Amino acid sequence: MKRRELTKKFIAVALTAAMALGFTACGGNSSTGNQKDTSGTSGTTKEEVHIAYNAEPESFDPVKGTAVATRSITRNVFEGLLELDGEYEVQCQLCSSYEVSEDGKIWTFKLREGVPFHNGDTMTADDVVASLNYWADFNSTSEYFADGTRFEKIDDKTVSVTFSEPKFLFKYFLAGQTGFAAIMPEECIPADGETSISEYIGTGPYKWVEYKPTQYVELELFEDYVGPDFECNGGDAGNRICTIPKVYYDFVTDATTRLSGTTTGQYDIATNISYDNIAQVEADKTLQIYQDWQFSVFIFMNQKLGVFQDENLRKAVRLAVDVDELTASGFPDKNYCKITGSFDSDIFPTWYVKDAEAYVNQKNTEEAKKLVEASSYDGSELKLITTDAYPELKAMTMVLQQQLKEIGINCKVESYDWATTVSMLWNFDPEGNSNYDIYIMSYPYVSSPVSSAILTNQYSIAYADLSNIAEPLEKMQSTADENEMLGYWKEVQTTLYEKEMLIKLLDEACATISTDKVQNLDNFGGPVLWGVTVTE
Amino acid sequence: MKKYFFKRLFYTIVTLLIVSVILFVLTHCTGADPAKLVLGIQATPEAVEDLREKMGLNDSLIVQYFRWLGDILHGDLGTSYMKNKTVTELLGESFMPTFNIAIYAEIISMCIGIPLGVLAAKYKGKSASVAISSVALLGMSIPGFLLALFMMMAFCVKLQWFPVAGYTPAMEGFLEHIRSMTLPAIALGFPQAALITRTTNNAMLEVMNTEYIKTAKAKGASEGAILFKHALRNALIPIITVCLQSFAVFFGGAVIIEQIFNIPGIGTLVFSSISSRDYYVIQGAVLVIALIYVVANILMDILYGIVDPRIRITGKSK
Repeated sequence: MKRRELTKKFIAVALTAAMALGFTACGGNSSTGNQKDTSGTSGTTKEEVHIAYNAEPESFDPVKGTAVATRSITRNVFEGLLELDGEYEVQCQLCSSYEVSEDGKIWTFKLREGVPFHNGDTMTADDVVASLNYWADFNSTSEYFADGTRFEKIDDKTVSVTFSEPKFLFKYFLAGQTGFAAIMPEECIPADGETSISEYIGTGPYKWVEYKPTQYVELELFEDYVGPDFECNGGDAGNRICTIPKVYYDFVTDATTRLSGTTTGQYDIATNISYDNIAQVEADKTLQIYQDWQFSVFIFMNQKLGVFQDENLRKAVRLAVDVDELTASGFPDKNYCKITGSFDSDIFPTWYVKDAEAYVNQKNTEEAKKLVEASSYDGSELKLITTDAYPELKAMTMVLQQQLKEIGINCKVESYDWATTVSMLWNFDPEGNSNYDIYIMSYPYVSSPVSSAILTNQYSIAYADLSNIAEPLEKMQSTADENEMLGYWKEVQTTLYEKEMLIKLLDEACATISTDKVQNLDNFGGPVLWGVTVTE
Repeated sequence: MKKYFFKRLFYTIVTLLIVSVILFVLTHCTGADPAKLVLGIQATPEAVEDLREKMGLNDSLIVQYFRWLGDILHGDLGTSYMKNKTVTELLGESFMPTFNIAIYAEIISMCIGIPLGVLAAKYKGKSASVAISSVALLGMSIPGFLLALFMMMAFCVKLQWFPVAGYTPAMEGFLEHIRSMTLPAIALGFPQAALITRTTNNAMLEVMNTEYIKTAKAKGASEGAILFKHALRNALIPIITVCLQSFAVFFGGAVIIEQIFNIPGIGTLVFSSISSRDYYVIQGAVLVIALIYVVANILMDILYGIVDPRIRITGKSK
């Protein structure tokens, strides 16, 4: 994803104001179908495009699969009522408009008409209700629906949901990235709800053809695709006009193979190229490279067991951390990381909090040493956990170990494979987890901070006391006024940092490459195929 | 013969049972929770607990083991947590790529290893023998993955003679099939060729010093007849052993080579299953590999009897 202009905050304000007032017009029903032939490009359009994808997701159920890879692949097949555009703003996709009541409790969606599924049927309100209730049951938004709240059909073109509390930020959940609210035919949804979907039928620009485990997913252009009447601007929202007849997501776990295969033209696009190879790619005139901003990176300290229960010791760590040094080891090319103290960086214009920059990269070792000396820490060896799965996190962890040593905190680095790391860090013991004292971890972007697991799940924030931020988070949902809502969000961040609940370090972009035959490629949590042309 | 058959069958079952117990315990003691991996790091404890229950992971290990064993006896190796397919289906899909690589690697290693071993024995003490021994030592020292990466850079990226990655089944084009298999087979087979060279050389040298070879020489037999008719045939036992063991090694040890060349074989399946702690797939795949080892050993016994009539399948020699 090329870096976006970040000056469109007024759009967000205007949209929210309109939303509070009543129906939000998102576009009419006119549309453009997919077409196999392209004009205006030199050379013949390729019939097959191969994307060397770095990860094979655990599930292709768009609702239950939580991996970025699941979303990246299945968004070609499925669409939601709402989607995020290239500026991370919520737009209508399968609905033509939506309305929220003045009290923020009732959300009503007018569906677009004549939207075909891949099986030839036309999308109905029954399909939408069944899909959204499946999502409500099996997505991480369960807190919204814990009281039995269901989506309901109002008429053939309208569905609605009624909450017991105001939920002014609900649109961000509905336009969520992973585990998204994909719309599919009612008959595709598992009756028992326990199994995942077995037929991948959606309204998106590509039809699902085949999944070969450990090999590939094959997609075929859906020529009857009908999108909304506005163009995509690099995100998921808009008319997803595609021209490539067949797309293969080849699962290639070895980074060298992905790079070599793209160099020779065996693959057209490759994701997650090693940061060490960026200079090599940039020197190759036959390759193009893109930044795909996907992750926020934090330091977490165990606040239930061990020495980091002491707030001053956590503060010492924050004061001591030299993020420039960390990034120098983790990111040979600085263009792929962005040091920021804001929970969401300025890539998200709505959620960026400039004041939070004061809390990052302070490099105040003298003050940090004093805090360590004044604390009850006895010099014992602490556990600094990292994973081999993310070399940049591991490299930063090794530097962090040295920085902590300088202020008198003695750490031992323990590195594990991803599966073990997940089990060690999130062991869900309410009494505490002694597997770690401190770790660096990246989290994928979510559509809004209120849907972030870090702020709602004590295990994801190393047992920090979430009651500190519960009230302003709740108030964020209860107000229709954008400025008031953002005020509460600022309060949440101030509390996060003043109480030393976590340390935000940076945002991280993955490196995607393509051959020079690929044109108009954007990246938005993976390669975005709408608008892309690939010539022979 | 019947007695031998039932005896081997009994040993095979006992071996596989022992393997199954060790395998089950090891995979379940790796300290990672498949439910957490399925649901991701943003999952709630409730969701994880719910999924663990559905996966049957909350039962005791003994209950889980006997449930798995019972399913195997009914021909069911289980269903993958992650890939939503039965283990039998997954193994069926990944068997042929690995089998093909193993066969081609075996052919390469034998075609290189046996003639070079014979030549090294023939030219014992001469520069040719020293050169062959040095190449063999080098071959055994170079890790297969390094050779694979070097060949990929040279023959795929620079010369573009072979595809960088992927597998083409023979049915979809034999030439493309051979192109996709050549480098993985060389990377896997070359180090093993070095081992076969050394084994052949040692076995040949031992045989060449025996009385019957001296007698053959004294009787004026040709050099070719001495080397291949008398010496090589009598040196075959250790060579067969190392070749068949190589085949089993190719099956179980192709993980890294399959990863590098993105071959969708058993190695890739095992690797991805270990990463996601997909227990049933790991157990099923390793059990199949263990079975291949056992079958390779039975084949070895049969071949011993064929190449050396003194050895009987009862295991006793006259």
